[in-house]
Amino acid sequence: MKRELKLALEMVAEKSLPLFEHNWLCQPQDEMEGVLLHDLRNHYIPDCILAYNSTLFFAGHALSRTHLVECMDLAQQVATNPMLTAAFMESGRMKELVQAFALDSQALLRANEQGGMKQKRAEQGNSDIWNVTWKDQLNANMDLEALD
Amino acid sequence: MDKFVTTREHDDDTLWEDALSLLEAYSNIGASRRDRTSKSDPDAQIQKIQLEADLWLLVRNILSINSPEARNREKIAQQSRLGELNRYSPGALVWEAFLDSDAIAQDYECILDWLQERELTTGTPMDDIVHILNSKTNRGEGIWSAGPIYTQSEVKKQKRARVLSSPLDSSIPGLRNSHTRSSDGKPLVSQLDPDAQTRENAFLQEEDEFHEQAAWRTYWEMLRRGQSPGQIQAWWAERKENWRYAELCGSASSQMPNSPWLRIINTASNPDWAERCEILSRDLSLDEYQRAVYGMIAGNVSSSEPINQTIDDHLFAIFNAHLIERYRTYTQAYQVKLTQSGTTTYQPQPASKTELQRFFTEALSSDESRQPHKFLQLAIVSKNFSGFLLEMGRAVAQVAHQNGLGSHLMENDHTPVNELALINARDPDAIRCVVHLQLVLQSLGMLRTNFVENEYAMENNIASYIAWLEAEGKFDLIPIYAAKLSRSRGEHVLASVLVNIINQGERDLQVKLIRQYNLDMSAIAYGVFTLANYDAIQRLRAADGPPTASRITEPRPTGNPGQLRIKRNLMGGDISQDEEKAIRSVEWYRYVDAKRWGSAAWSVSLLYKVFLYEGKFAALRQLYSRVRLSDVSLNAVGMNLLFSDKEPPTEDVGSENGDDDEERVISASPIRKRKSSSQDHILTRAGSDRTILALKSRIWKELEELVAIIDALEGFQEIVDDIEE
Repeated sequence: MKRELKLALEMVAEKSLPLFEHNWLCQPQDEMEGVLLHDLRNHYIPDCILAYNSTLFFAGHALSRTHLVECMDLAQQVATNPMLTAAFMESGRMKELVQAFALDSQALLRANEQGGMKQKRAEQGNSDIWNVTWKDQLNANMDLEALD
Repeated sequence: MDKFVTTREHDDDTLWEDALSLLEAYSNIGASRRDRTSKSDPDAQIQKIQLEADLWLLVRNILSINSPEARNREKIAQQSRLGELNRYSPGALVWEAFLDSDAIAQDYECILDWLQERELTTGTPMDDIVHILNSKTNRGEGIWSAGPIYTQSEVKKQKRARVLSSPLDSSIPGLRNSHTRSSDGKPLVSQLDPDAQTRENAFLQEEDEFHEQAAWRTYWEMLRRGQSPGQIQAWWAERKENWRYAELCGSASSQMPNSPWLRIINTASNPDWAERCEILSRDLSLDEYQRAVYGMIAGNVSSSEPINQTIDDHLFAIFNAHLIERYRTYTQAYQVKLTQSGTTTYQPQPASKTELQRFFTEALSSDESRQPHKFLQLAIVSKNFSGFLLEMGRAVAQVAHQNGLGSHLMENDHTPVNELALINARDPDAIRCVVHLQLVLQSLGMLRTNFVENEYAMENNIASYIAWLEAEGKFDLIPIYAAKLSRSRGEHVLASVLVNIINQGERDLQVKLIRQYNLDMSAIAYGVFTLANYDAIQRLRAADGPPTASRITEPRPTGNPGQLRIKRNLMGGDISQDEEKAIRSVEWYRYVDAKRWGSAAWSVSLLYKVFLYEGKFAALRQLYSRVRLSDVSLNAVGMNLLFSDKEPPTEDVGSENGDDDEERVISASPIRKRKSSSQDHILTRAGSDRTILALKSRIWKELEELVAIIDALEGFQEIVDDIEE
């Protein structure tokens, strides 16, 4: 079962690569197509990212904690890709995204607390910050709501 | 069945030759079909096939009379043949000269020939008729006793009673009272020559009267079947009534042809006799068959009306009369030529149509004309091909829209049409005849005005035949007929048919045939797409606002609100018929060429957009798995366009002129945006290198990637669900 899950995860990761390309679905061949692509991006990209995130989240629990770290990478990807951020902003789903990432980080924190921290530590780099800052999840949520 | 290619000029002799041999081949096909089926099928079916085979021959013969070569011969004959005749020319020679100079007469002769042959081969056999008649005359089997034997015995009785050695004479006192018919007391003739009844104003015994009637009937039937003078003579000679033959047809000499037309030749050379026959044919006191025989000899149409049973009989009477009339005119010209030297040319009269027209209107409302192929036959003998075909073209459209078969191949036609055309339009055999007749005539250039004025209705005939082929599953025959349609109609019709072909082998065969017949596969593939997706395109174009698709995710039932999951069974399930058709339609794009790659890319991405916009996830998965860009592009242009070398140059390509053929794509695509006046729409840019082609299908590629993501996410979710359960 684990093997299947792993394969499926690899498939998701591979297929999701175009998501992070710049200009993906952003080069319409005419005006009408531009409007339509814009709508489709706003409709599907947030769902895809969130679902991708859930996938990693699940894999982080079922397979390996490293996938939780990938969640953090995902967050960064979204933050640095204007197309992706715009899709979340325009569809009004930024809040969901932030909530999801908050959950990720919490999970990562717990995972780190539970053990095996030493060997991962070097790679995880900045996750220390998360450990400290985001302990109180309720508080964090309130802050984030202000963001929306 | 039809290897007839129409690239030659209409007056090319070889074209006509081919057309004629083709018609002969059609007839042979009909005949062999008849031979194959004659065991088990019902009689009506065999007759129908026989009539079809015969009709093809008739068309062939009529066309051969009207071929340019024959027309030429006629012109020459008109100039010279009359001059070659002299007062000693035998009738047969005059007849020949007449036929050579008069194509209309040839038509008539040809049709009469055909009618005779039909009666001979498909009418009641002569023996049966004779048998029925004989049983009435009370003469017993196997005895061909000559003449009025019952009257003869009465005469002999009188002679014995009166002890006469000389012939019985009607003037003998008291004879009229004693020499009578026992049944009704009417006086009997005292002598047995054919004229006795009139001369003595007396009668024959009833059995003999029947015999007499039967003889006339037989005579008429023989003439109707076009039996040769030799045959008729032999028939009567066998029955020791030779005089009957001599009376009517004159003698056949060694110079005279042994042809059914001898009666016309002989009668025309004897105007007094012709006049006598004419009078007799109008004499209502005579037996009706007797009148009919006289009428046939004199060319009187009305005299045979009471006894004509079939349309063919009527046609025979009419054409017979017309032929006699025309020959009479010719012999008059011949007589004039004998007295005034110098006239050597002969100009035939125009065909007289009134009688035929009157009859056709009558015939078209009769029950008999509802029989299979009769409508076609009437059209052929009247040579009103164009009117007939047009009528049929309209009728098939109406029928198609009534019963649904082929309604996707043609628009309805609301012009009122003959009921017979509607009946025939329901008969696949009739449609087959019509379409092949039309193709032959069209290639001979005989339907030019028709096509100029009513191309759509005329082409309905072909389209409707294609509909039948489609219904029968004979897809391999369709492209050749589609190739006979006008370009855009052919593409439309083929596209409508192809969209329903699923089998891969069948598709490959279609593509092969389509290329073989020089049809534009790319245009057809595009046609398939627009036909199958017209509504969807309109919907998408009218779409306003965000996609109507539902979200692909839902919150997890348990767990945190931020964690979403892909909806259960999102892309599973069945797809609707329309969706299936839409996907099928883009599968044809694997057969386009590089020039049309733009339209392929536009179409597939449009379909993705429609499905994504409307949230048709099951259809998306099907489309994604069945129409992969890598696969289709490899098939179509020979490269996998998932991989593009580099970003294309945007400046220099734009200055090239787009291909004219691709104009259509532009008009079909949504509002264009020109980045600069010198730059064309990406999809219409010329060039077939990888960069350009990949650029054209970029949106397709990206949308495919989007669906791949959803697909992969769902795949993962399914495993998660399995684990959690």
